[in-house]
Amino acid sequence: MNTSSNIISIKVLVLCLLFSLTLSSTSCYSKESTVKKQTVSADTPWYDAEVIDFKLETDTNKHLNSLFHSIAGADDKYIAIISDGGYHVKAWTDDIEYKDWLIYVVTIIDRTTKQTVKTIDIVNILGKCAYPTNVNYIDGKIWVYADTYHPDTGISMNTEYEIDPVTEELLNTRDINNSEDATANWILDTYNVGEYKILPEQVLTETEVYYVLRIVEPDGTIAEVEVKDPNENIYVIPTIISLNETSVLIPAAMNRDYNFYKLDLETNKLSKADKGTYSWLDVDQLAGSYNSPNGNIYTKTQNGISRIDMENKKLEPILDFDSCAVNRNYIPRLEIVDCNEDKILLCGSYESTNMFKSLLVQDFIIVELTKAAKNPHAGKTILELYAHEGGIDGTISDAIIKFNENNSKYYIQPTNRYNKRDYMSYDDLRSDDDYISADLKASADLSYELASDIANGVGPDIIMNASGLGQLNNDNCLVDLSPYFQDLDSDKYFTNIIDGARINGKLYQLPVCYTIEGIQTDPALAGKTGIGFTTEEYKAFIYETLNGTDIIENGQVHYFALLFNNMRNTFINEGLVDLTGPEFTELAGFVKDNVRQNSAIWDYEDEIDPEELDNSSLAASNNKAYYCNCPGISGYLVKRARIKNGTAILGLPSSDGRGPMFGTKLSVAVSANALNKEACIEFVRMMLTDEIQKEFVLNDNFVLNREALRYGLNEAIKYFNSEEGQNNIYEYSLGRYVRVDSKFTDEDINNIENIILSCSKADSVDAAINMILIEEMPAYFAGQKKLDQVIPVLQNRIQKVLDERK
Amino acid sequence: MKKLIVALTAMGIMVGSIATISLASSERYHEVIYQDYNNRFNGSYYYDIGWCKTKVYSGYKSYVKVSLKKNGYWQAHCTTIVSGGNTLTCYSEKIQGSGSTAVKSTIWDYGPYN
Repeated sequence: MNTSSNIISIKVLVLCLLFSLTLSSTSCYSKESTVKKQTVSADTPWYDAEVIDFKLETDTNKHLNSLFHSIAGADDKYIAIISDGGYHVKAWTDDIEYKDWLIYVVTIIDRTTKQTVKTIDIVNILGKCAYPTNVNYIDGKIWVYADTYHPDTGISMNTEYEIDPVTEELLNTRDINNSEDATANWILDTYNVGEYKILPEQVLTETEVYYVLRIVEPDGTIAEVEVKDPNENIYVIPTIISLNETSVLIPAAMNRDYNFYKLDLETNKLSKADKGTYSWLDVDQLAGSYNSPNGNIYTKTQNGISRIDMENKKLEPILDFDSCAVNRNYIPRLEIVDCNEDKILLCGSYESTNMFKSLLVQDFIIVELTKAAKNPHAGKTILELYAHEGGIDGTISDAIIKFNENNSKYYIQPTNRYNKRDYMSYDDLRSDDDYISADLKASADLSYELASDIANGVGPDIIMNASGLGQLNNDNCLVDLSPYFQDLDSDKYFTNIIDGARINGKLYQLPVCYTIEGIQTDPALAGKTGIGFTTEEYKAFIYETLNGTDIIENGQVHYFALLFNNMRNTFINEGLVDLTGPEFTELAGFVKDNVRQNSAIWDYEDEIDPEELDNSSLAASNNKAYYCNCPGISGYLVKRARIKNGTAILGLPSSDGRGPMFGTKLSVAVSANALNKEACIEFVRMMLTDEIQKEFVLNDNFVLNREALRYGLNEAIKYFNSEEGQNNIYEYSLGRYVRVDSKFTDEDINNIENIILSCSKADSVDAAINMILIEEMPAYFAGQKKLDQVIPVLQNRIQKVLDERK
Repeated sequence: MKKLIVALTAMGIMVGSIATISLASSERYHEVIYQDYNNRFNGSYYYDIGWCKTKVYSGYKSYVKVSLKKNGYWQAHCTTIVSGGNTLTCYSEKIQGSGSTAVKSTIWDYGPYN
């Protein structure tokens, strides 16, 4: 097993997220712009949204272990929500009953007022022998499925209980099957088709997977139909589609393909349908589909809801998720509960942006969308927002909704028309260095397109997360935000981070959330400055502390580019380059003498068991130091726990032992040709409000607001010191959650704050200059040229690039 | 959140049953590798453990609850979150005395988290 290859493979993902370099081929784009006004059309449909955060009251005297919610069903009168969870039990003794710990409740909510009208304790109604497993609300009744033990016979049955939601009366009980049969499962989904009810159940044996459909017939008898293939397993039946009152279409996901079956409910005859007839159906999407009582079937796509038109064999879009003011991040994950095209009810759990609270107690949301008579934003001018890396998260989505609701003239609309992956070729990538070079080129191609569009007035108005696209950092492309953020109090904000992002004194891209790039290790190992290393000090660090294995794994040229970028302001100032000083010579000499020529070649293997990786020698060797681009609080804490006394993040080797750099995880900029700069600045200001800064920090980010950061760090430490949190801290170098045994304290909060204050500058790579270094320096590193032969060529080429930007 | 159930194992059958669930692509990120029940003696008393070894693919997160059935009644034990790329062996809490008849793993999926 080659553990290093898995680390490198994961590093590709990390690099994908973190490296964003640009290459400026030419900077000749027109300064003339043709402003194209776009407004929200009155014809664009709009749905008014009613959003309810569902909460269930629990016994605060008991420790809540877990609580999950799901939808039982809805009609014109009620919405029924299931809450399934439990309280902590100290010791499981024989006299403990379900009522002592189990939470299984159905909440009935009035569909119109959205007020809770009833909370039905299912455990209480079913009694001590029944363990509820699912609930459906259909035809105005609650149908509970439970594993029911009969003490007199010792047999357990899957049982259906019919309950009146208003009176809570138990109306009927029906045993379905023996729940302890070797392959029996608890009842999950039920489908009403005409007068029939279908209960599909997946059967798993040691050798095969198939389905059994239990069909409750109009007279109450139960028939069983096997859906089985002699050659392949049937893994999923995502839904059952009514063809008419007595027959259904059953799509089935097999080993490699899909089959379709037809079932006649009157005769229980199952036949295979012609696959070609249904090849237009995307079976994978059907898992989220909804069978409306009016016979229509609605399914979700990534962008909205469509009706399945079986007759014309197509999907008919009926709702675009952008046509409502609901968080765009979680709305695609909600379930369709009711739909009649003018009114759509969606419910479901959503992952909170708060990373420091228990995942075992879930958030649940009810969203009712009603088609509006007119679009309230009609006539507003559209401001296009492009998020380069990382996309738009839940917090930004909420901020956009808030802006759109409050601004009477402008409407922010995200765009995905720019995509670096369109320019990225993954062929022939065999090492970290290969990846960096390919990524540079792709970023360059994209940034050229972006810069051209901006200059020509057809680009986005607000640009996020593009601080690595150095080509944009000039007055032709972006507004200098300095006048709008010049009076920030350094007691309230990390103004050193804002200052570190300036280019020649101008603030083109405001860093809102950032990463910390450097060497995480024991502070006692730092150089004389206490916050970084000189090249001599780092050399000693490699050979004495790290036993000769550098933790910065790049090959010479990319390693050198990294160190150059770290000291960029020493070599390039006010548009003039000077490489003749001793600092440049020192850096070049250090890299030539101490860094390997190329980074390691990746060695692709089958997926490695993460448990094995945890115990690998590679993990053990990183207990002294780690070269990090620390993405947030958990990233710092997880490494702090793994590295001996790993409380410091120190700067990369430099001539002056300076502190670490910071990367920009979330930044915001305004196009120099934005349709309305003031409106865009209004959105930028929102990013610094206390409310949004707090949300960012709880989402595991380092932020500018010092008070928000301390608050978030406190919450993080509380969570990661808890039993659940200890098992769920994100190890970014492995790309997954791990367990950490350390306990964290207030001292960690102080350490993080001090590290941030020691950050020297933004890691804003200028790809044009990097590419020149990468082309010219190898001859020196290989001993083919002396440094004083290379320096004039470098100076000349770099100065040309800088002059073209003036 | 969708709820998935894995097959149960009866008492006395100490079989490492391999149950692989391959789901529709929107949910194709769980694999229950191993599920079993065991009865242990720690020198003082017997207790039952339910196991569920679950693999969750990178980028997804699931909640796993292992329940043991003892003398006809289900008791919820290990509850945990399994996050992307992890293979987790979920152990139940200890219950005194032997006599469990079944184990079931309930997996709730959180879907993609990044």
